[in-house]
Amino acid sequence: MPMRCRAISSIYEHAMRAALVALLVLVALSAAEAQVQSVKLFTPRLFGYFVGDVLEDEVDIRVDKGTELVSASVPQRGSINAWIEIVGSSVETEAVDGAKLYRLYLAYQNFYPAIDARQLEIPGFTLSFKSGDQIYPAQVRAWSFGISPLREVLPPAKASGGEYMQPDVLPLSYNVRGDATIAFALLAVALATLALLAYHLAWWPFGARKHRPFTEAARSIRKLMKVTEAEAAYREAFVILHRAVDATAGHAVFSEDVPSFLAQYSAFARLKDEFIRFFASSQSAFFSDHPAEAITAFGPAELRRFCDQLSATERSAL
Amino acid sequence: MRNVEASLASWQEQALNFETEVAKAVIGQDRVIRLLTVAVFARGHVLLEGDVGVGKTTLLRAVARAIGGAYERVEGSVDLMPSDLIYYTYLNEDGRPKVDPGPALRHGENLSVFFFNEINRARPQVHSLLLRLMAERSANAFNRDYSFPYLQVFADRNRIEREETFELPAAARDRFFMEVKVSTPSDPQIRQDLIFNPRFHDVDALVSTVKEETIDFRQLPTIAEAIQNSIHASPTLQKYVLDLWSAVQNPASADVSLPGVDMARLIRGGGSPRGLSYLVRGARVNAWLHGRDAVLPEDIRSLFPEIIAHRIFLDPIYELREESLTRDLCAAIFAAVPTP
Repeated sequence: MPMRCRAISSIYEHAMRAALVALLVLVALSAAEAQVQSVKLFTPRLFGYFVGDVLEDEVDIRVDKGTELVSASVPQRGSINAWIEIVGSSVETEAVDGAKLYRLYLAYQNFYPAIDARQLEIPGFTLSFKSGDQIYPAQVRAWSFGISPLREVLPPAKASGGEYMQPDVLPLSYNVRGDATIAFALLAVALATLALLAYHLAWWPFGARKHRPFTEAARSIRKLMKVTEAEAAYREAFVILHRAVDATAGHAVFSEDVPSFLAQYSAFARLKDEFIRFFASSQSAFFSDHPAEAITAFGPAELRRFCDQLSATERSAL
Repeated sequence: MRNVEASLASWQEQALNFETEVAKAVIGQDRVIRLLTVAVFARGHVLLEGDVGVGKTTLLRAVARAIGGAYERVEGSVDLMPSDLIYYTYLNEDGRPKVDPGPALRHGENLSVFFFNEINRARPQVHSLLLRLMAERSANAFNRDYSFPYLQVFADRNRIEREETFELPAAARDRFFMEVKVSTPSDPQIRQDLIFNPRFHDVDALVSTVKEETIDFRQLPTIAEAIQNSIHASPTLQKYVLDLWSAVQNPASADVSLPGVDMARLIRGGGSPRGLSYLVRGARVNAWLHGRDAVLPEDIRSLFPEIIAHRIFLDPIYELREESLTRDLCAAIFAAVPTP
């Protein structure tokens, strides 16, 4: 009997201890619950997955105000085990009715090459929340999903004359006519713009074709004067330069037209003095009896220099 | 030679004085006054053309006064006969018919300015008498020859009416040294002055402000000859004038073209030798007025429209547009013919 009594009292002690422990756990849990109000898991479709599929779930945790998620407890990208890997993890928060709602988005990629239909489990994890110095855990439960094989295993396909390899998929042909039209139109616009730019900057071929009377005159006068600087050549050079002035103006230019010529072709205005002396010398050479005066007033060297200046001005201006 | 140069210089001064005097009576017509001065010193007759009331008569009266010498004025009308210019017939106090020299002869050889107003109202018979007066400066009357060595004819015509008018024959127009168009001044200040300034209301008083006999009309032929002999026209200039002439006669050959005009058909007669010689005479005077001893292309160009344009005769289909076509043609020719 005493043996029996001891046994009873031992059972009783055990029961008491268990009750105490349970009470302590309950107190602790209720304290934690007070901080973490709810944990809700939203899973995607739970069946019909293949190797390589990504499964996205959402965990909503509602906590008291002033309670913060310990970000280190959030599962990070990376492998969980041999066949599943976290490929996305993000957290959003929002305030809801005096509480705080954490939305945790996770994306798992499955690498399990199943050869039969089976259930796989995504393990649960614990999130930690902090309020003051206290840490409160929130358990997220594990969940499982059904995975299927990509092909049949039994009976082997070869046994029935089949092939494991599917035939090659033919490349899709896209209609690119619209894109090609746009591309050609843009190309045409680009070429037209380039042509305009070339014309504006007198690049080839526009530079070569441009009518440049002074440049041509300078060239022929240089050639002429190389042979002889006699009076006849000098007069001829004057005539050549006169024709260049006429060609630039588009009409015959006399001495009294010089101001209007320079006003119209203002690039040459800086050569006004030379123009006036050139025309004055031309008058003495051609219309009065004093050709010698012209040579001293506007000699061959000066004539050549004037030509070069005109030609340079013409190239830079026109 | 030095004497001639010195007298030319002093005459140039007098010529410029003459212009200043005439400009006292006529404002805003500087170019017309310059042209008339050229004509006076080139001894050429002038036909003035323009609207009514622009001051043609005032201008000529001022010119006549400044030149000095006798001045005679005739109004053209349909019934004017050549004899009316030469003879003056009337009954004297005794009731006997009497014939005296008419307006053209009255002053003898002292006649320096003969002003024919509205010349296109006179009949062709009158034109032909005028032709002789202008070309030979002489007339035959009372069984003898009258000569007018200092005579200069100024005529005017207005182009407003066409009724009861007689178009001047080409020969008569060719004998005029210049045809000058007188137009209303465009400067607003001058226009305002002409209307509001009382100075311009009384033409007689206005003309009397011009100093009389600014130049001695008896010396004009001599000085005109001296100018022609001493102002130089270089071979280059001579070639230029010849080029211009052939361009007038055959514009297509000188690459002259006008929009909408068949250049091969345009010209029926382009510039007579007399016209070109007048042009060179005028150009010499113009050069002299500018104090130069040589004619420049500018001289030719500045006188070309007045001296040559009325000698260019266009194909009948272009006649209605004659004035603007001739003006454009002259401008195009000067733009196209190069010199030196």
